[in-house]
Amino acid sequence: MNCQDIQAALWGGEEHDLIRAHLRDCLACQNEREAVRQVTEKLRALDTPAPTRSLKPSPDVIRMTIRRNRRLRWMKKMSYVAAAVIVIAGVGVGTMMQGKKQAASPGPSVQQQGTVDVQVVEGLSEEKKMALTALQRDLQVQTDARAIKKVVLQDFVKDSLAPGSQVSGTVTLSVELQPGAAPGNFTNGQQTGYAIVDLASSGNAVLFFDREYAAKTPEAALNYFFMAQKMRNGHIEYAASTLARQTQWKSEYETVHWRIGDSNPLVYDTEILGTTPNGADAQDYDVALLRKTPEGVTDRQHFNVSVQKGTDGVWRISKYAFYRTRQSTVADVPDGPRLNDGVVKWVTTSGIPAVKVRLASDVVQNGAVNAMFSQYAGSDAKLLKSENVHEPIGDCTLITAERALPNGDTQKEYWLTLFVPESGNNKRVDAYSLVGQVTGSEEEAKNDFLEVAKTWQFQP
Amino acid sequence: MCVTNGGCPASNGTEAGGEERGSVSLESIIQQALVDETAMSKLLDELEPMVFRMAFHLSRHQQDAEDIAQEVLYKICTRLSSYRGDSSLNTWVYAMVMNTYRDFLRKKKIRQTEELPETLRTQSFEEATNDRLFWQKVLQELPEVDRHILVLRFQNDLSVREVASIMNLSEANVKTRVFRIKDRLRSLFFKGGEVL
Repeated sequence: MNCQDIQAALWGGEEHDLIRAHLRDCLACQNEREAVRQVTEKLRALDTPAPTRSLKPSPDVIRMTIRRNRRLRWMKKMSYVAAAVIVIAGVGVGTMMQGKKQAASPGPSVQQQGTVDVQVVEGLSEEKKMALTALQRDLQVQTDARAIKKVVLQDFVKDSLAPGSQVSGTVTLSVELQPGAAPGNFTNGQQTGYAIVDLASSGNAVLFFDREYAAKTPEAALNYFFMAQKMRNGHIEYAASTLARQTQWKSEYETVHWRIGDSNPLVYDTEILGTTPNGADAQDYDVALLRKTPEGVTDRQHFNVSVQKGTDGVWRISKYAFYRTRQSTVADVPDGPRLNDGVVKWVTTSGIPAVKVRLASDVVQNGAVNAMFSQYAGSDAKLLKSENVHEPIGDCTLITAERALPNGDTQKEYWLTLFVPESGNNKRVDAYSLVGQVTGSEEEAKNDFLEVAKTWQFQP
Repeated sequence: MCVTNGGCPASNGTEAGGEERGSVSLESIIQQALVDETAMSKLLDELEPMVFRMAFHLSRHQQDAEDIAQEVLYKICTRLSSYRGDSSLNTWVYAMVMNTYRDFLRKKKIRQTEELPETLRTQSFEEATNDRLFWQKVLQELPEVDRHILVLRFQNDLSVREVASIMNLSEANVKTRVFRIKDRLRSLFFKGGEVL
């Protein structure tokens, strides 16, 4: 090999004994190898930014794929079994005629023994039939025939979520357990579950039950919240929530045109900042979710998360609201009751002077005040009145609300809210609220509230 | 743990690089990933930086690269069962990135220059003193096929044979182009064997 051949080989990525021997004595080719090395190094050293969101398929897609793979393996295995039966039968003919009678009337097939009898009721629309048939295939493989005798898929009510390759909705089914089998995810009789069907992958489907995420402790419920945020898994969020929160969850996803399992800027860590017991059956948490911004900076999203214990003893996520500290401040506002009657007690938990709730713009256009209030204020608060007021910070909405207290009394509250379009995202606005509890004369409290709010500063 | 079975690029701490796989074979990793959610998730985690990096250097656009990488990872997940081991997993994945990128371009009907940052469009080689910009400028100046070859051959350390397989070109064609790229690089910034 001459120098030209050697250098061509070096640029082509080859380096064998012949080349190495040549390189020991040839300065020109050593320089060429160094040039190749430098090009490689420089190119590899080129900055590649970090992705701004998780790029992995959603857990639902992974789960469905794994189920499909298992099903394919199972079907393959079954075809081997069938082939073996045929071969054995073939060998038997002519040599073991006495076995003919047995072969002609076999017992239950391997498939019958290994799978659950899953049926889809007749008379459904094509769409429902398609979803339930996909579920039928999944359940036949995934459910344990030793525990479950029969499943009848009765109905599928699709959520009106954004169109895409996945459809999701509530499934009604009736289940017959094997005699003596203990209830697990399935119980005897009619029940509902939540199904996601992936139309892009030949109708793969997966069925979930709320009880799959049945938290026995408030911490476990909070962990489901963290899991849902980290995995951007809408289903976990759904399954681990109260019925009221589930309804809200669907509405929120529809508003922002998300599909279940859509990727979101990746939350990579979580922190519990504070815990506040709220009676025996409820617990409030201040938590932080940490994610990377497109600029690679860690962004802390703060949430108030409430969990509550249901009558079935399961803890579920009942409410959560997003807020951000250090973006909105009320200057010189002391915590606790002011000195005079008729003034406002500022609610500043954990040193947070203002609450920030993020809303979609069409929510804003269609009842933003109600949406914001219902999302954050809780079910024990009732919105009495809202009015437009002008503050130095901008045009705000002043809400007068009444909160039912555990002792049967009521507490008047003022919510002063400023809506600000989110930077770089015309689909969402941020709602900043100052909240005050009225401790005396309502009128004086209102004047004081608006006066103090003049010092409200916004730092985008 | 490297999940590829050949030619893993030297790890910079962010990629699924390095040939060491301990006692776990690639085949067993793939077999496990096919039937186990955690193993599949881990495999995708390890492939994600490599896939995104290649998508980024092909598209040179953050959002497009994310879209392409997301689609590729979806395909890897759903089509892993069709991987037969005829080529290295590396080659299989890179070919998928390349094909997805081409489909993406076709769908978007975009021209490369439309997506370039302003700073790169306006800078000359002489002005691009910053090393990173300088090399991005090199990538920008090369014809598209040559740029893809440069990314595959040098950035991802694939052999000429693997590049040829991914690009649907003959090995001779790739070798010729690699040499042409070398001459182009030399004319731009080699002096006395050193990269400027």
